[in-house]
Amino acid sequence: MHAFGAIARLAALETVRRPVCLLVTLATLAGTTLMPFFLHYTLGDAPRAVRDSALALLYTGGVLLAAWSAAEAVGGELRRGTAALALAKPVGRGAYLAGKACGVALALAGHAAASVAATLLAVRAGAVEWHTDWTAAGPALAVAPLALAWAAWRNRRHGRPFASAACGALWIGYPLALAVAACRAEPAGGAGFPGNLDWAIVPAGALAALPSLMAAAAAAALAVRLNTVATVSACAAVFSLGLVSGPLLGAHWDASFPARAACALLPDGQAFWLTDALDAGRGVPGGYLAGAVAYAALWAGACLALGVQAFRRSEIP
Amino acid sequence: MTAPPASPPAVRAEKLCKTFLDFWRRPRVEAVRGVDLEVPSGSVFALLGPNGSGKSTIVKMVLGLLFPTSGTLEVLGASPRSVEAKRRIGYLPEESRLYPQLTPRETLEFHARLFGLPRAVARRRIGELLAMTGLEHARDRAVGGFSKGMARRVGLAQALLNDPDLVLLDEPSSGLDPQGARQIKDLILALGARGKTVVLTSHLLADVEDVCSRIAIVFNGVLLAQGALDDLLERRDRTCLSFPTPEDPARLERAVGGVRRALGCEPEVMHPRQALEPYFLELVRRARTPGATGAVPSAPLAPYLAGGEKEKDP
Repeated sequence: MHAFGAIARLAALETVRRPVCLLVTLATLAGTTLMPFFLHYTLGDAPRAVRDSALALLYTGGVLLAAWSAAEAVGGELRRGTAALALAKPVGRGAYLAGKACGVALALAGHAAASVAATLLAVRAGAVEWHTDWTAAGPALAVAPLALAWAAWRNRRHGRPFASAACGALWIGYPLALAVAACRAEPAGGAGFPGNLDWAIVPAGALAALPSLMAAAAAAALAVRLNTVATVSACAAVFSLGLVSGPLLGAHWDASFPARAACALLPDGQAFWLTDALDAGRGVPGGYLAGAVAYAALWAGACLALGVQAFRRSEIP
Repeated sequence: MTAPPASPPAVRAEKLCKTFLDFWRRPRVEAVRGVDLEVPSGSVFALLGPNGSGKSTIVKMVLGLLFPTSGTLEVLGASPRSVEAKRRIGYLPEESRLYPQLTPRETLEFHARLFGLPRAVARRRIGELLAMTGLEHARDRAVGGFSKGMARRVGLAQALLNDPDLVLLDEPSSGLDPQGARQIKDLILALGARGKTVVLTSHLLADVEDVCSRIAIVFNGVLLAQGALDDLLERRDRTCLSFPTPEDPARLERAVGGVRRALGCEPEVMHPRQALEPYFLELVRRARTPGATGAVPSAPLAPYLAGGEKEKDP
């Protein structure tokens, strides 16, 4: 357990230290924060458009970040030789691979939490047509510049890596900004806490973040044999096909065994997208969320199991 | 009264072969061919050979990182892939494979957790190792900014964290200054004196001669020679006498004449030469002042490696 914990912790730290993590995080959060300003002219559909666009950014950004980070955490270390040094210690290959995937998933949890907070702020900021709620937009817009300034100060003063300091500041900053906005009622006598935020987005955001857990496991398994670019490409292909597997293959379900097999093996991306329930005002049921978590965990576990088998047969040059 | 059973060899290989395959599973390189190798427990063993002879391949098979194509290999009485056996092995690779963003202290803490060392034991050993390797002043600097020699010292420290019974050192002196190289040799001798098994690969044959009791020479994947260093190197066709140079040259002439008459051959008379290393080290020792820069070991050997403190087993 010590070794598993140490490997997971180091994988999480290395993930947030990579510049690509900061780039994707910043792009996702900045895009979400600015969404209300881009979508002012939607003929009354702004809140839905902002919500769906932000959740889509969380979904795709999370999958991309997870795939890249896990590919580098495993494949990158195999190429650089640090994996050989770790595996020369009393560390099983299964513990090593699972530790890497869990460490990446842990780092992504921060990304997901910040994205959900940013989505809540963005939806409130653009809730009223032709109008920006600055009690939400202001704190949200302030987070990124303050986080980058903080990271620059930490780097200059204490020599800490800029990327990890900035990521950490963003992941903490957005929930803080949400807390600030939650404490302030909507303008013009609007609702106060908790009615001033659409909390139904939280389980929907958690649902949209689950594919990144699956992508981390899949990429960790693939990276045992493939390089980073091939791993990320394969993950992108698998998850893209998974998103359309229902409409594409569902019609052939009864007639074709390959179609049924593909539907069963590909990750069902639509199962993690429940914005229609939000439109109907119903929210995501707790039981459905629990089922989705179980599905994601089983699918990720199966990928890791296959990856461990491949890893045990791999030589570490 | 029967003699106590001999310890099993630390490493035993029989007809060990390793062939690397290409993408289509066709044989590409035969790196190790039918090697029969035995590293006795408690010996200081050198694996010698030119570049590409298969030394590193053998070491990686011992660590379970590569798999033999055929033959048998046992390490500390177990399979090389045994996780428990690796608890007793320390490994210094030829290239320092460290995480550039971590400091030496963080690096050693990470590897200590991989070994499952209790926190107090790990903290103490890390302190001793940083002092031994002269890295105390750089303990909180990222390893990515280190010179090759300093990174090598971090690598050496992580190889010794678990007080291993079998230490594998791949080119241990590579990148180190003469003091560092001397320290490595002293460390190897100290580990050998404690009954540890040390296997090292090196191109520096003079260093190997100073510390090793047994060697194996590999070329093109084939084991050419194996055995005790004295047995392999001793030239029984020549005999040397060594004595203090007499002040009177005539006495030396008389001694040489006596040998000439007794043996019926012309003896070769020469003065032995001091080795460069002790000459260099003595000069530097005399010249060293407080505040000198660079890696300055403050302790000769970490106490736990010298068999000092008794610690609870992890």
